[in-house]
Amino acid sequence: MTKGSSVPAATAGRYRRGFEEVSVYASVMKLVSEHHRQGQIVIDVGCGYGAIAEAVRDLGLRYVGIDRDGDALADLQKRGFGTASADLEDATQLRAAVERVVDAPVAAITMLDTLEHVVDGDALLTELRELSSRNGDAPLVVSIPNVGHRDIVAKLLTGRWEMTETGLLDETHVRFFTDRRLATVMRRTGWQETGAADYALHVSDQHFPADLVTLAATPLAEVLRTAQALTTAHGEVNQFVRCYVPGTAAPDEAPETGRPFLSVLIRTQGKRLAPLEDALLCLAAQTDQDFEVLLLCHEVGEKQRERIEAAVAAYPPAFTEKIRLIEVAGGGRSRPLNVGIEHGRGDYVAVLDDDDIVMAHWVETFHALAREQPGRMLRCVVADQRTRRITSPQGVPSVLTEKAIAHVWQRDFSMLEHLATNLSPVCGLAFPRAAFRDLGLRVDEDLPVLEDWDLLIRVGIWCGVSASPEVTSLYRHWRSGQSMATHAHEEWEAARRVIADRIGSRPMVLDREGAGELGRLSAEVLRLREENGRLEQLLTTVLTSRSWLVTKPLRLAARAGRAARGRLQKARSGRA
Amino acid sequence: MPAPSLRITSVLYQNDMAAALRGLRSLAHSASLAREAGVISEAALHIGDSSPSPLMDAAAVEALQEELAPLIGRVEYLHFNANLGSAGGQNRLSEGMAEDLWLVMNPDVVAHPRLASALVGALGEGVGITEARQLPLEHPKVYDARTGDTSWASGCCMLTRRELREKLGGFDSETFFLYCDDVDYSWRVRDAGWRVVYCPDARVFHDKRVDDGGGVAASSTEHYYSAEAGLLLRWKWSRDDLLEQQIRRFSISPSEAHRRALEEFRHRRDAGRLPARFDPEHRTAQFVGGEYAVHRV
Repeated sequence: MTKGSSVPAATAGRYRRGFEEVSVYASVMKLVSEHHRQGQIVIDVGCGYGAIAEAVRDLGLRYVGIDRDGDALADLQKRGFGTASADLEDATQLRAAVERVVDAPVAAITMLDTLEHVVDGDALLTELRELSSRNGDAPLVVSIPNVGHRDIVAKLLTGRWEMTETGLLDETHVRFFTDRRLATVMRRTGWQETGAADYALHVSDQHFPADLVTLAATPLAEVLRTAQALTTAHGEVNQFVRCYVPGTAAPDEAPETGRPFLSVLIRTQGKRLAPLEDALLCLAAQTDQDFEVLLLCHEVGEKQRERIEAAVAAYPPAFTEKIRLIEVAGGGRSRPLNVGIEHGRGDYVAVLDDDDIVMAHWVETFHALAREQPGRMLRCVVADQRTRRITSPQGVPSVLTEKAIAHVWQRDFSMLEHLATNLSPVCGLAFPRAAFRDLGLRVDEDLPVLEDWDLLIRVGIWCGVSASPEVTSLYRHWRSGQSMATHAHEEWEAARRVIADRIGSRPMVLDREGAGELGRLSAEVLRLREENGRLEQLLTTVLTSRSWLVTKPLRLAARAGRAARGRLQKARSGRA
Repeated sequence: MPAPSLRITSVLYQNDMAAALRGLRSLAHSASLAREAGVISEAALHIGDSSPSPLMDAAAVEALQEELAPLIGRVEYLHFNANLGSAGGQNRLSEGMAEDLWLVMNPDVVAHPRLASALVGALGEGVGITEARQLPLEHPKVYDARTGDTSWASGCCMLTRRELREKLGGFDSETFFLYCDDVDYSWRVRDAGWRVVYCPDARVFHDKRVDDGGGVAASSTEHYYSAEAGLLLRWKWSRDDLLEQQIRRFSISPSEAHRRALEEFRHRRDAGRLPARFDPEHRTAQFVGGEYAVHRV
């Protein structure tokens, strides 16, 4: 296909394509057949040699191709299809061409591998939108090469941007699209997406040279592929195949301003109002007030909700305006966190259970860490308190701390040790919003326990961790009702296995500190192995020595004596 | 019976004013809610400043008065021109008070909205002091789970009566500069036949931090005044046995704070400046280990 005015006619023949069952054209026809309106004509804009012409006719519709390539149009005419000539850079030419050939209601408009060749693509899309509106909002089906294909991304990392005669980086392309870019352009020209049948290629025409370090079977390539799979669902899409109908034109999204530093997610079932009141007071007392609070009311009844609302409303407006109550229905104990992640506006997300409490510098310390190393997961030290619920002497449900501090969790954070066990209660963590937005991470709702550890690992290995030795929060161990007690041992073990399997199933990234620690740990393991070997050798030497063998009867006699003494004492105590 | 009136006092000493103002606002708000609920009739906030230079100028005071006017009847600020310590400062701010009740507050606190209501509500007949529950680190001294009775109340946040303040002369600021003034006042209140009651539903956030070992972080100044007050408290409450033990311990302690505290105690004793003694039969004061009440462990 020639594409508008920018493609030299001499190269046009290279775009002649046949229709194959598994191809971008098959994807296009899937959308055309699913979305076309009552009508008779499919207008194919930038039709080239009309790869879908016969398939359209097979649907019982009339195919009309518009292009400026005379050879291509002649070919179509020879095959019995209607055509019109137009330069797609000129809206008036396109409109005139349409008026010449369209003599019946339009069922759909197609534009395949064309937009990327048109300099003023917005003008073309705007004209097509008017054409659609004039024809009963006929759908527009497009196919557009994806410049975000993982092969192109991997090559760009090595400085390779290699245009080719045809394909993803066709040398005549003048505009380039990723999924986000396509969404922006379509939205601002007034198109609303109604269907997608993207055409994916695991290995694209850009997969060369095959031994390139970022393309070959190297760990580096694996890390890149894994990272891209997390950040976008379109890494293997060769061409976006999408269907649109006219909608409301929306301007490009402006960057969001005025966001708080931290979104504090507090999940509550409304059953523990006294601890929740403690948590709210701790937040009201923060030295850094740059945060919002999302009170996630999970399956909370009306009366409980009223009590929560009253607890919040008692504070002055400067604090209550930070708090949003969000109803959460269904799901397990992780569901509220995922709902909170969707609603949070902060650069970071922290999780407090309604019975955790925080020191005055909890937010302040997170904020300082984020300023030092933006984008990393933040981690402060947590201390444990043993706590129980009481009814106060004044007859009000309240809380009693049995001991000020029972235990302090790992002071110097080690990501590697966290791969073996969780040493960080979630109230000591703040997750970068980017981990949820860019990597698509969420709390695993299928894990009944240890979901916070799982999230820590998944965020920590991709975003890194910025840690402070400051104790900034207190995890309350309740005398009863704690997770450890309420979940069966088997559930904990099963969750551990799932997480361990995950750790071993994908590559991970270590920062400098982690790499250094890995080296030290490896050296330590080797040293211990060596020492263990020496000790085993020593033990063997002793056990096989003449003196050990000779004294065996003495040891047997001593053992028999000890056993007899024990029986005697037992008999005496039984009589007493 | 008409609702009582309330005076809130707080003594500053080189505080971070943003944090101090957050605390003062929270106190005014709490008093306002108590007034709306009819628990108190009116309230006044008296701020004292022991800092070398005033932390608030006239404009800042006026701005605070204007801001808090809808919440609280009166806001007063007094720069002492001297470091009076917590006991001396609190006494100065409560001298000749006309209000029925006295709410003694630290400057590094944030009050729960219902703090004032809860403390006043628990100040029943025969109760001389009510004490709030501190967050994030609750004080570990035990209290009677049924009645709330406890050995002493922390001056971080305690409510007491004007009549007791008048009768007992407030805190013993001659003896105690920074610590144990609250223990001593509580014991004198109990010695006079009144109860000291802990009120877990009255919440106050007290900005305490935890050190590496899980203890409450304290400065060298705090160590010194705590050690000094410990000696003086044992003297005042007639525990010569424990005083001697403490003197022996401090005399061989490597701690600079202990050495200085012992020097000061001996200096006072030699100068005849030790306080009059109380509780010769040991009915009121509690000395348990190094503490002044049984502690939860």
